[in-house]
Amino acid sequence: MLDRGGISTKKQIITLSVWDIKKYTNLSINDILFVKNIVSNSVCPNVVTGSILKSENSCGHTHVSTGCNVIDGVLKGGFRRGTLTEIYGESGCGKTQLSLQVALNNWRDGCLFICTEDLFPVKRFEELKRALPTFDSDIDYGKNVFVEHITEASELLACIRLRLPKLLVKHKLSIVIIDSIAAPFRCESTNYIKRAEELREIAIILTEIAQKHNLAILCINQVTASFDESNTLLPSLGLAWSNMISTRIMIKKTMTVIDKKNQHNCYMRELLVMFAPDLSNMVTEFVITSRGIQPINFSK
Amino acid sequence: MKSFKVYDATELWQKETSLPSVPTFSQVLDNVLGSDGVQLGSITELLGLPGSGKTQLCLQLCASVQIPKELGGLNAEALYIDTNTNFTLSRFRDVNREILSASFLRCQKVLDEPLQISEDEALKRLHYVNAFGLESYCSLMHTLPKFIAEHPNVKLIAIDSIAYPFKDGISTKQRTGLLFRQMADLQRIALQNQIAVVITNEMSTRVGLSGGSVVGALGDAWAHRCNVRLLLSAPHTAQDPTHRLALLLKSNIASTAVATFQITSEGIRDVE
Repeated sequence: MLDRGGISTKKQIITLSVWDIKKYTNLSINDILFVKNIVSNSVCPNVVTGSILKSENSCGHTHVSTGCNVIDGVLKGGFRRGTLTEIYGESGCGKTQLSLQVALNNWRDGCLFICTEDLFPVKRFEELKRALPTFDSDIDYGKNVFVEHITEASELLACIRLRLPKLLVKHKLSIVIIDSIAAPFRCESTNYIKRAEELREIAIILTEIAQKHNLAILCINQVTASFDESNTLLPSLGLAWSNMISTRIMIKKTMTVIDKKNQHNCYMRELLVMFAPDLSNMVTEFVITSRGIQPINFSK
Repeated sequence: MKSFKVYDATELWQKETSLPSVPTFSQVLDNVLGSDGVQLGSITELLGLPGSGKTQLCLQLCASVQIPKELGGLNAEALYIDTNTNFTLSRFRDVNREILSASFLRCQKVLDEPLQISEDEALKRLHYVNAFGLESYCSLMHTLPKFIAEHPNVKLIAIDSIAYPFKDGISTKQRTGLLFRQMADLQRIALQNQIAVVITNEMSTRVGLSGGSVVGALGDAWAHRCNVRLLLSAPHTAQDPTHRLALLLKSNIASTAVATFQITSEGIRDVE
């Protein structure tokens, strides 16, 4: 009866009203309610109490480390698994450096690095690898770091919709990095409604995967100048994107030079938590050296 | 034949004023809401840009609904419906720990006998559900009456956020119908069981005629649905980044007003 009325998926049974289903199928109201109850009970997520959550959290990993203990301290352990984290900042402020560091640090657990702006900086990756305190030339650090180059929004969508689930069947990942999310969307369309829809779709698929496989998603974003009186830089992609992320982090390059004898122009950089459900708006400083991201007190 | 009880205004007034509220822990914000916080039986919508404190306020309310009876609280449980993955247990424990230790101290002072509530006990009284995606959210709403019947001590339902499940896979026309049906059910549950319902909503950019302005998501029809709408914002001009503004956009009991509060590591507080 349901099939004849054109209703075949669980979603239709749940979302359509009793009257709509009655119109399509001519079933009795009691039967429809019966079907609805069965389907709802099978799909319905479990309600758990806080103490159960606590015991779940204490045994599993909840964060992905950034590889810098000061930044980890500010982020309470790193990037939170199961959600979208965004890092934005001006060009050259160290966004890619931080994401490379994260990728390298999680080489054991697997990492997907989607490049949309430039080629994956293999040279720099090698350099950082040698700087690891536990570096061992026998280990292939790049074995579990998967790299994908994408330039267009439709390709990105296809990649995370089709190829990423396939990859996850074969390999375990701990983090997916997209550097950057803005580039595929900035070059083309001026059709902002379409862009918002595509962004929303990407964010929902990514979050769904993150929830299912308990991995962290890190999206790098560019900045755009704001047109009102303040001369602040805003993250690009607008409100449609901002609503989809749960943590937003800004990186800023300051003009303060940290003196270090063998190196020149080592600028101090700041990492600011803009918003996050579990973090306060904190700031921390770091520098980028040939060895990667370093906390300030170490380099002094 | 079922007989209907006709209330007159006095009776209604008595009934309404006897309904307790869940405090927000900011006196100024409680005053703006007009009923010492979020009143049981009402549906409150929290609007705001990301980072304006919607989730924080929900967590605070979930914690303050647990305040023991001895201190004038409700000693009740809360249900947190997480649709946008923004819930973190660590943050709830921060907010809740403060309430636990504060109520412990106050009890010692007022009652001369310490009232010890362990954290585990308190965590057991928070019901959490992750309803990611439209299907699981809608089926949850469908089975909600059953859950409430099984847990009669739940006095607060927080939905964070209402807009997220409806972002994908549903046409606008269907969405409005579905939302209103769910809200009707939710309102019935809220009234019958005297439960306070708090819903968060996002802001979206309006396209078309008055293009460029930022309004609450889910459209104009939705704007009529909730009787209390509170707009939260993080002002750029504030020296202190923890300060937040709350503007009461719509309410049938209080007049339009603005409150300033702050989000500390312990939760929502007044600005000193």
